[in-house]
Amino acid sequence: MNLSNPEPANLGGMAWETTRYYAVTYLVGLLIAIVGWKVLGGLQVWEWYICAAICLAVVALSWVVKSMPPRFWAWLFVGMSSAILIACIYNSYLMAQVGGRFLAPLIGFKLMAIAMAVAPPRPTWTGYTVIGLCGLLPVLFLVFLPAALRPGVSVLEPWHTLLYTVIAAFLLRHRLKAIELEKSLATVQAQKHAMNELAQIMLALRDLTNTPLQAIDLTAALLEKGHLSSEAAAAHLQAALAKLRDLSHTLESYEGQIDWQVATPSFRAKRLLGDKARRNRLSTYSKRD
Amino acid sequence: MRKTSILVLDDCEDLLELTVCFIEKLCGCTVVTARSLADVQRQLETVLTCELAILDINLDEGQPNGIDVYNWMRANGFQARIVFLTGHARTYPLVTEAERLGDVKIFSKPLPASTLIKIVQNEPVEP
Repeated sequence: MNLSNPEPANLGGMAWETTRYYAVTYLVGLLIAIVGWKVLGGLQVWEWYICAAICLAVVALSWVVKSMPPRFWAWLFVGMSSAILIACIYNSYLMAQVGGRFLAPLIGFKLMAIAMAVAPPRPTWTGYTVIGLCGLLPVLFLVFLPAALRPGVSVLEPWHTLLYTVIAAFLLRHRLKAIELEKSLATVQAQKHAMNELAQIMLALRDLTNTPLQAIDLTAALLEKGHLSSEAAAAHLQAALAKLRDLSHTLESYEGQIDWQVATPSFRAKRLLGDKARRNRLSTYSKRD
Repeated sequence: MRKTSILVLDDCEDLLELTVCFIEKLCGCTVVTARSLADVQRQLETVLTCELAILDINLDEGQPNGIDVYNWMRANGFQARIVFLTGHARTYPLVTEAERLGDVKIFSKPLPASTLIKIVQNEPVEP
């Protein structure tokens, strides 16, 4: 199993969000379970109350302290999930005692494993860890379950639950890869958009400089042949320079967008443009290939 | 002997003035100037006597462009050479459209003075 998926740069925020999201989701699930059990037969549900209190505490904690390291939120998430799984084991034990009412054995483990695959938690290892617990705990439960209670559990268990966890692990892996792919595509799209904008600015620059350059060129030729008075030549040159100055003022508005952390403070403009153009050509060729 | 007459269309007043001066002084031709399609339409009879038309592709915003002028001139019987001047890139849609016309040459600004002389004197010159 591949556990080396690259983690996103804002892992801290994502780990916090995962923990909070799952705390709320678990809380909703637990409330459904509590109401369900009550309706089904009035079994004691105090373990679900404890889990609900834990989830509520995690939600509250996530509101109060947000700036904890990703590792803190990751372990909190795994701990909260483990608490619910332990409650599931206890509940399964009670249900095994009842036997006949045990219509959907170990359903909590299956649901939690599938939830990890559908909404992958961050960091990625937490998802695989919880899925692992969803597979391991039912096995241990059935190993240590008293022989007298074994008939109360379906003969398909724990293999049925294990199958769920294996499928969930594959789904999680696939989902994480899909998320990475989506992210890469979004990055490529953003880069393409930025390049297109840059190309448009460069074209506009070229357009705006060409007319005054043409005027300077013609003025120089006419001066050289003595067909233009120095006053007239100066007027034409001033007009051309005024256009170039206007352009320079327009470009000043773009200066604020330069990130000097990334850009080189001292550079040679011609070399810079040459480098950018060469890189652009290379990327165009690689796209064609 | 009648002097060669040339139509120059450009929306930039300063450049138009310089081009006229350049062509008249250095090529010895007479120049008919226009800043828009409306200007060309007003001078139809004079324009039809020109032996060359130098048209700027991109005119004022919201105005008919150089290709519109080309189409109007061809539709009204102008059969002489037409050359487009543009400060825009080759990928600019209007330039691409002009390239498809076939019977025109497109030159990029800034054009060297020597090239402009060759264009006016109908000497071979590559865009």
